[in-house]
Amino acid sequence: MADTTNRMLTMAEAVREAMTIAMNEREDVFLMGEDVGIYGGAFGVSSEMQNKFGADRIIDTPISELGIVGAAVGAALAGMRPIVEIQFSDFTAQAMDQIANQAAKIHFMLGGALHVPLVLRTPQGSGTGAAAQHSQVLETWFANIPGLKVVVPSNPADAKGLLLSAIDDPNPVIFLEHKLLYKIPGRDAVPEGVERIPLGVSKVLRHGSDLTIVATGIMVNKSYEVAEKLSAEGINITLIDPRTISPLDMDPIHESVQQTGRLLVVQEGPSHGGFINEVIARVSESASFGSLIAPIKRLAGMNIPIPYAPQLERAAVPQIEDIEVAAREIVKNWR
Amino acid sequence: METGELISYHVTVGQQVKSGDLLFEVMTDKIDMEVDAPADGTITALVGVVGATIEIGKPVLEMETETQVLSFDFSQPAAPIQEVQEVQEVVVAPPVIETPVIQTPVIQTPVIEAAVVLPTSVRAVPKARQMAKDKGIDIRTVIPTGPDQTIMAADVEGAKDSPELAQRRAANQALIASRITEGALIPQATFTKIAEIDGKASEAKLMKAWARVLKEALNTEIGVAKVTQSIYGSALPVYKNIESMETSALATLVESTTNSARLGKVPLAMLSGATTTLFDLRSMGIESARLGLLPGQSSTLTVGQAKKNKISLSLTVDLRVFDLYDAATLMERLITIL
Repeated sequence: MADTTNRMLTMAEAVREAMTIAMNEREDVFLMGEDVGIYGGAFGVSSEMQNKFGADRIIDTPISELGIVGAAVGAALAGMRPIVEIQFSDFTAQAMDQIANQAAKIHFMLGGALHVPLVLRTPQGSGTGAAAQHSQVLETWFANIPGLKVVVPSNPADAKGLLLSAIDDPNPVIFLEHKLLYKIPGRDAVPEGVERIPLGVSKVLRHGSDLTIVATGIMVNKSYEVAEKLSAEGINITLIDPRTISPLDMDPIHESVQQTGRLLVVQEGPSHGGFINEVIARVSESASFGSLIAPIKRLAGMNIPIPYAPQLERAAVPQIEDIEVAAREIVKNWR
Repeated sequence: METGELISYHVTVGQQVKSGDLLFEVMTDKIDMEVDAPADGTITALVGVVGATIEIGKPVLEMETETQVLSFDFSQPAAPIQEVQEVQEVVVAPPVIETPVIQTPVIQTPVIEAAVVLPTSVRAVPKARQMAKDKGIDIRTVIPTGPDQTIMAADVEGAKDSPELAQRRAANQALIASRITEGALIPQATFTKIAEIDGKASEAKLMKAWARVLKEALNTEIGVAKVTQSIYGSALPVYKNIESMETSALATLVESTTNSARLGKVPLAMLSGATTTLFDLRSMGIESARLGLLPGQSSTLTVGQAKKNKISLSLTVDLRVFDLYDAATLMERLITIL
């Protein structure tokens, strides 16, 4: 149903709304994490939720990521639908055994007899001056673990619809929110009602015949600005946001590359072994390869820990200017 | 293996041969080989000398095949390859030293055909390679204007078709035109019908069904010439005895033949023996076309894309072979089988 109201929410508000809807819809949904209750979460995402749902459903936990995720996996196996918030995605390293070896594997190793309907929400990304241990984009880690679904929303409306689907999903979903998007309103209004967005469906944000850009997370927003700017120069860009990086919906990407013949991929995480390389590989392996009229270009984070100094932090990951230069060069240099 | 010795001929000029008949024997450094006729035809010339060394790729004999279809022998070059002329010595005038006024020395050179030295490999984007292949252009001859001396799609677009390719296209087109003109003299009638059958029915299924209908009606060997796109223009590879083939096997054969026809290669054995022509227009989204009859064939069937995912059938028959009512029956029978 089309939404006529003009609700411009932030990502934090949209995620809160999705969790609230899910908790109102079903009693087995609960949220647990460090400071998610009284404090309202490190980035205020669950603000006021404990007042509404009580301390039994919005649970403040001790500082032990391994313990939190382990407890959530147990609760999920026992029939609950836990949502876990890890304060910074960097800290998932502490909980990785529960995520990679337990949550992701149980359904398969028990022949499908049990499910782990767990959602792990966590903020990622640089740009806040929080230095190397609080700024990483680790989406590639999770995408490399079969058994996990990995969602990287780029805007509040998608975050709401995708989180509702993630909570519904019978198996573990890693939900990666970008810190810089928490406090800013999205471009599109967030529907007031309950509109689920299926996992594993890429979104085409705009259509253009000159270049295909595939970007994840906040890079979608940066690429969008570039696409709008370059359209004034007569460079028309198709922008695709996979939204779910695992499973990955390649169909619109192939379709677009076969039309434009040029592909630019953008991610914030380090380039070496990055998720976005998977997109390149799949294009190269497919019939789309024969449509290429330009070498595929990749923009990604540098292969360094995120620096603390603001100028260096900025320089370590792709910025709007970088995307603009790359996009223009591909189109101008390759006919 | 570059040469062989011609041992003997087993045919004489004027002799009619069938596909598979022994033509001649060659001895190479590895094996003795018997070479069979690739198609039915008539021997028109024996150009080799028994006992002499022959080079691989050079003609040994010439034969005329029955060109019942709009295709010619794609495996033969259309034009003879130009021999490179011997390069004459370049005469350079000695520089004049005495005079202080420097004059540009005039160098007398004989006119020499430019010898193009092609690189062994070039950089090119995938699309450019594909385009060059489709246009029959040697990618190495395209001038790169992209970064790092890379050939771009636009470079191939600007490149001209090779003269050989243009010549072959023209020859093919002329052949088609003359066959159509000949065919127009045949008394014929055309019937069209929108059939209530699945518009997505595979080509193989259609071909097989059509061959079956004709086999039942005529009780002779059926050869279906299927209009196929190639870099030389339309080609008509002939599929024989397909009414008894498995549909999946036929589909594989059609696919491989279509792919090689696209690059200008049709097996010689598939260039003759057609009794009907099938033109499937569905992939182009066209509803119907009128092709007429081709000499030596008693029918032409065109299959088009009709509205609501239905099939549009258009059948032209030779009225010396089929009665007007026979034709309508053929069409009904085909629809029933499908």
